[in-house]
Amino acid sequence: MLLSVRDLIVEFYTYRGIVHALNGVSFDLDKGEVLGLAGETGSGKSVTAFSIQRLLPANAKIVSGKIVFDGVDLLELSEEKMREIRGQRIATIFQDPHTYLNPVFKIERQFLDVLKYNDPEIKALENKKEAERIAFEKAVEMLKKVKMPAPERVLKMYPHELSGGMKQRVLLAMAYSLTPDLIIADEATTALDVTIQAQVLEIMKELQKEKNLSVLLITHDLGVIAENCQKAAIMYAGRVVEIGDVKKVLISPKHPYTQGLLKALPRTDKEVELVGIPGTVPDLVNPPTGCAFNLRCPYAKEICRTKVPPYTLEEGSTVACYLYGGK
Amino acid sequence: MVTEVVKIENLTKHFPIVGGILQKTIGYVYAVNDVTMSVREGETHGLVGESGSGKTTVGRIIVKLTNPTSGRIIFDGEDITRVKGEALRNYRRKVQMVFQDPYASMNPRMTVKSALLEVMKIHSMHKGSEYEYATKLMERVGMSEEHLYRYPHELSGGQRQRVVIARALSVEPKFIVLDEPTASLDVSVQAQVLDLLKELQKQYSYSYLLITHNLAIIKYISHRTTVMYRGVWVETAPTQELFKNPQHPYTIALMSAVPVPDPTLRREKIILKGEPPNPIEKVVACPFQDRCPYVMDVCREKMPPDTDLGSEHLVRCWLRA
Amino acid sequence: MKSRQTRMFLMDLKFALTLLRKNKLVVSGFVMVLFFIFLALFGDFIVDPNIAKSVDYPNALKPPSWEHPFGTDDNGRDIVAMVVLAAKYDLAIALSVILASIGVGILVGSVSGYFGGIIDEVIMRITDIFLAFPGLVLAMAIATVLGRSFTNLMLALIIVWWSGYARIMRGQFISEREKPYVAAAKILSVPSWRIIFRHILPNAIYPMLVVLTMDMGGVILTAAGLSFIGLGPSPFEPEWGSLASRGAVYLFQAPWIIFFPGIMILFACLGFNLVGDGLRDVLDPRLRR
Repeated sequence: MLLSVRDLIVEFYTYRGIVHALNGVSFDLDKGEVLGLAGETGSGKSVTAFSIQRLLPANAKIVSGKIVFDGVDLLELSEEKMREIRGQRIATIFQDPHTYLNPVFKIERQFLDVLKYNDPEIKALENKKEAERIAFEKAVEMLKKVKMPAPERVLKMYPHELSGGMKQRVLLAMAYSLTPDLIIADEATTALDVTIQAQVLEIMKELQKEKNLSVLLITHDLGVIAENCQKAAIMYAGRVVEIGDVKKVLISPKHPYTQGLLKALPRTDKEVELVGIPGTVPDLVNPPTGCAFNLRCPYAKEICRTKVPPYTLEEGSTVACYLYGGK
Repeated sequence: MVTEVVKIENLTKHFPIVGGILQKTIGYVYAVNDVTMSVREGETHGLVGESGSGKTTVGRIIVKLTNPTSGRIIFDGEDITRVKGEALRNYRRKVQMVFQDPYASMNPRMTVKSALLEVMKIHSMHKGSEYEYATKLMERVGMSEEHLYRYPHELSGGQRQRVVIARALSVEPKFIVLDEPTASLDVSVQAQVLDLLKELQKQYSYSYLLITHNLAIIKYISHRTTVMYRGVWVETAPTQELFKNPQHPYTIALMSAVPVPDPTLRREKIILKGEPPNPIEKVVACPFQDRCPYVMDVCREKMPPDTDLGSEHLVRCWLRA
Repeated sequence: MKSRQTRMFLMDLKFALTLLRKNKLVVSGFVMVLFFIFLALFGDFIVDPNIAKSVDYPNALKPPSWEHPFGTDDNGRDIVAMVVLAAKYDLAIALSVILASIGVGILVGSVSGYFGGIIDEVIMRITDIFLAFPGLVLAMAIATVLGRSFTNLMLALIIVWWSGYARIMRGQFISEREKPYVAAAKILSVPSWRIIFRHILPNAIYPMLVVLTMDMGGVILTAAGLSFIGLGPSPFEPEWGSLASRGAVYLFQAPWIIFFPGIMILFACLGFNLVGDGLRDVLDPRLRR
């Protein structure tokens, strides 16, 4: 087990009150596994990513829970140790590539800095010139790996001279150059056009296979999950409501929310009649008692309104729903 | 006999880029380069393309938020390309638009009620019974009278888009441009809004121009579809025919690139090389030449001709010419 | 149904008040501002307004005592009375300068920003001429030409002040006019003047409230500065700046003359700045959604 998140509870303190962003998130990620984390706005999928990296904003607090990465609870590490892990072992790729590239420096400067401060081999070199040269070579090599045309030229460019897809590939190259164990891709391809998204996902797939990396792929697009992940986790209102093999979750969904989500999804591969889920996502300042989905669920029973459903194993998927397990 | 509500012919739009101390035009953004299409009565026509394809600009030209550089817009048999004043007001009672972001397209400091009543007042409609009509409109889009007293920030995303639709309907238009109407909504709410649009069309036979990048939505809701690339239409066909039998290499690649939520489906993806087009370069030959896997010499020299493949399927590609 | 709106308003008010309560500094700013407003409104009833015009040499330059807590000035006038009477004039200057300037600013900025093109070009070049002069120097020049009086001081400040607001309003209008709600209004055939005043203006002016409140302090300070160097009203009209300027003459014999008006200017500026800060928090829509 590379990453194991247990009962993670995160709250945000705002003027409106306490936002219960995560209400007990649990999931596991094996070495070499690609786990898709899906959910709608406010389901807490990005908060989960930020919690793992311990990069939550100042008004957020991890109330309880564990994030065990390679046998170590990340929540108990010192900030210094955490910074090392963040640089070398867990890399994150975000939705908005231009926010993460400094517009006033050339790509070369930024790429080489990442390598010089994080790559243990280059960091160890005494000779500054030598380190610079090796870092440059490595950067070129990584850019080639993400299929960047003319990498030497790209390194001499400023971020604004690159398209969104190219910027995202630069960030991919930076992230993978440190040979991390875990990649968190937080809506990494959402802002890109479909044809560019296909390019980037293809590159990510190749790199993952080559190094047998673990990937946590966070997206709202179930199609991306279906095509890139082995396991899928569906989140709703700060909780994982269903997790299992991607085929099981997307072909024979168990949780009423997963079922509803799939029925609401227009698709290109077949003719469908859409059925929307009535109502809207709950306000996490005043979340409903019991199962957070009970107000929109067609099968809601009395118990759903009072008690949070526990996880049960149903045909290979883990589901948090009273429809199952209580026989 | 099918009647065409809107018809656009060889539409182009080039935005000047001004620069330097003297504010001289130093170049153009070639947003729309050649689009011809039509929307029939009671039909949804999908306009699909990626960013920079010029699809939104086409929509803005049709509702006359901006004037085309050249080309014509025919509405109900009348050329409205250059209408102004009273004629423009009349035109805008028949044509409306719904924008992508419902929060941004509502005045944050106006209640739903004042937004709806304002429109009726301007067009002097339903004098004396404005309020009743506003209530009726709200019911029509699946909301209640109580919501009339809300401000935009007190509504959810889906509710806001319903209000925006209600406001567009308030002038009783014939034709509505839907610019990515569900792009900012979650999937579960998107389905509700799409079904509302479908239902309204069935009841009142509105014609829609649906602008989107999402092929799944096109497949679900539109009757005919035009694919755009770099401001040029490259293929147009009835939606079912287009999905069954795409002809343009770009259409084929686009369809293959869309992720499908079925993990058992193993398809060979066509991964297009290259970057999205740069709109500052003028389009003289095939707009897709830089990324096309089948590019030939002729593609770099001349614009491909319109090729009619029968059953209303038209394509612009030298491979099919 | 109507009561809902009232309820909403009350909720907003409550929200604003809780936000303000959270910040002690803002509350103290509010207290200061309210205190000065009180003085401005009721100063004439608290002390005899005729004191300003009186001369009482036997009592001149008396240090603070029970009888005259702040001491007396070179004309023997009680400084407490003078400082209280001045509040009305100083606040009136600040308020009228700000209101007139923002009025002109809205008019010029909205037309310039909304219509753009050649109209914008012409109006903004004229505005630039005003902005190009250093504010204080321009105000000095105008005040000198017009002569010493309250109205002339105000006029000088308005002429200096409006151009900045016109710039900001223009910027606001340019950013607002590109938003989809304006496009939506255009498509619904809402007339231009109505788009400007009913749709864009309320959205453009709200962020300005913060600047306006903070500038109240700025105007008080500038007005005081001008009268300090002798461009304000006559010594018989009470005004903090001119009082302080009298005090400068007797800085070593009677430091209280300059001290107390100075303190008033300080607290008035501080108060308005703190309130502006608090308003910024309340008006920030990011805290609301």
